[in-house]
Order: sequence, then structure tokens, then C-alpha cells
Amino acid sequence: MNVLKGVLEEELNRNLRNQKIYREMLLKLPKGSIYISNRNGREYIYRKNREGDKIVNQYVCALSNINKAREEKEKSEDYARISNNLKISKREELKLRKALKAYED
Amino acid sequence: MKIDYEDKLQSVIKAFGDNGILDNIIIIGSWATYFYVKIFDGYIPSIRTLDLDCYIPKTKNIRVIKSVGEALKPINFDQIFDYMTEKSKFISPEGFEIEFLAKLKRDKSQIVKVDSLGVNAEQLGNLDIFNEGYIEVDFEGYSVKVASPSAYIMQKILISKKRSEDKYNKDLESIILVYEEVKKNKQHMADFKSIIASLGKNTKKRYKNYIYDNNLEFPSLE
Repeated sequence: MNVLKGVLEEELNRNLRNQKIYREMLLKLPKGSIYISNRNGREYIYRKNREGDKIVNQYVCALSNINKAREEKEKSEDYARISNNLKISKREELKLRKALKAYED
Repeated sequence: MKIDYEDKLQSVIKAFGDNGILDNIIIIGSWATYFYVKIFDGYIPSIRTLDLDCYIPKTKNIRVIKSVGEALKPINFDQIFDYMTEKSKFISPEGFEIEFLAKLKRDKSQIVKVDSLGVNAEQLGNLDIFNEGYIEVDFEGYSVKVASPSAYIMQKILISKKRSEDKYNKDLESIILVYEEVKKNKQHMADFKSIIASLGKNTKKRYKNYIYDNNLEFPSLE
């Protein structure tokens, strides 16, 4: 087998495996972005999420709950980062499939 | 490999260097050859994998500033665990994968937990060849420990039977490429001969069979 073709196939398999891992990671994280809302002089954290056509705002915790607030912020950042990683992986998949096409004939 | 993978490698080395991890690992596997441009004039490495293998020679008494996971997160690596084997590795969306390896111990367990680094390293045979078989190269201001060319060749030869056909062929190509440089250099050639002399009975046989099977003009055992 052509060595380069083998390399590309190996990379494609890895890419697909990683995409599956990223999807599993996303399932374990709460979907949506968080924001702070000021009500009656107190600050609260909410998570904004799209459900079908609707935008749902879900209460998370008071900003004064420092540990919980930090944890939720990290989860939200991780969700955004991993979603972006999944997008990058999909782009890489297309590149790999395109490169592999050259070996099809 | 394309330039952006080299950029990724540089960012990994920087993350490891800034967090005290680099002192405790040796870069082995195909990416080791990337650093040979520092020691061989005109050498062009042929790297056909995105796996970066890091050997941990001593798994105890390691002190670092940050764990590997913390050090790599800012450059977009995620740590994943294989729940079957308990192995951990770090993946990036570009396909880069970093794995940690340690020498096989008598209990022959598959992994060793390295708490300070926050990794589960896979234990494999024939890795102790790197305990002494490494060189230090200056890379972007960091001192990086890398498999010596002789140890790199010998380890690839010794594990060849366990490799798939594809990987066997890739390894063979890399071995020949690195050996072409080793034989031009007296010191490296002496190192290679010294490694051959240090092999045990079974490993000498594996070496002999490999050079015979692939028709390589490498130093003989005599």
C-alpha cells in the first residue's frame, strides 16, 4: 500500500475518533452561554440557550456563590472551546478526504 | 508535515518548558527526528505522524509548576482517558496527539500513574534504551531532551515485529534516513555500535534478523 495513502487513512480514522470524543465531551457539558443579570441590586448568573425557535434563560446561581459561579463559567468556556474544536476537526476531515481522493483511481 | 504542525509542536515545547515538564521527559518516536536538523547538516526529517510520544524515564519524585493537562489547555489540547486501558492522552482538533510512555516494570501492568504530571503513562518494553540514549538540543530557547539517533534507530528495530505493515514500512524508511546521517558521523556511529554491543542475546537476534530481512548494510554483531 502507498505509504502516504496509509498515513492519510490513519489521520482520517484519528480525526473521526476525535470528533466522536468531542461530541461525547459536549454531551457532558451544559449547553449555552452564561451571562450576569442585575436584579434588585443583586447579581445572578443565567444560562442562555436556544431550544427550537425559543431562547431559554435558565437561572444558574448568585454571583456571590463564588465557587459555583467559577465552575459554571469554566463549563461555559469549555463548551464554546470544544464546539469550536469540533468545527476545526470537521474542516480537517474535509481536507483529509480531499487528499485521499487522489488515491482513489 | 505542514508548517502549522511545526507551529503546534513549538507551542507544546513552550508549554512544557514554561511549566517544568520538559526536564522530566524525552521526546521519542518520529517527532524526535524533527530535532535532528540541529545536529545533522542539511538533514530533512520525514515525519508522517501527528503522534508525539514522550518518554518519562523516572516516574517518581517529579516536580512541575503545572500538570500536563493544565499546561496544554491554553493551547487547545484536551485530556482523554481510555476507560478500558486507563491510558490517558492529549488531543488537539488539528489531529495532534500527545502520549506519555514509561518503561515496562516487573509487574507488567499496562499503565503507571504519574500524579505530579497528571498523566497515566503506558508501560512498554524496549524504552529503557532512552535512559542513556538521548541528546539535548536547544530549541527556541528551551533545552529539549530527544532520543539520540542511535537509540531512535535501535528502538524502532526492536519493536518492528509488533508494528502493522504500514507502520513497519514507515519506520524502515525513517531508520534508513537517520542511519545515513549516523554513518557520516564518527561519534554517532560509535554510539550505535556501543548500543549494539550492549544488547542482550534475544535483542541481538532481533537486530540481526531485521538487518537481514531488510537487506540493510548496518554494523554486524561481530
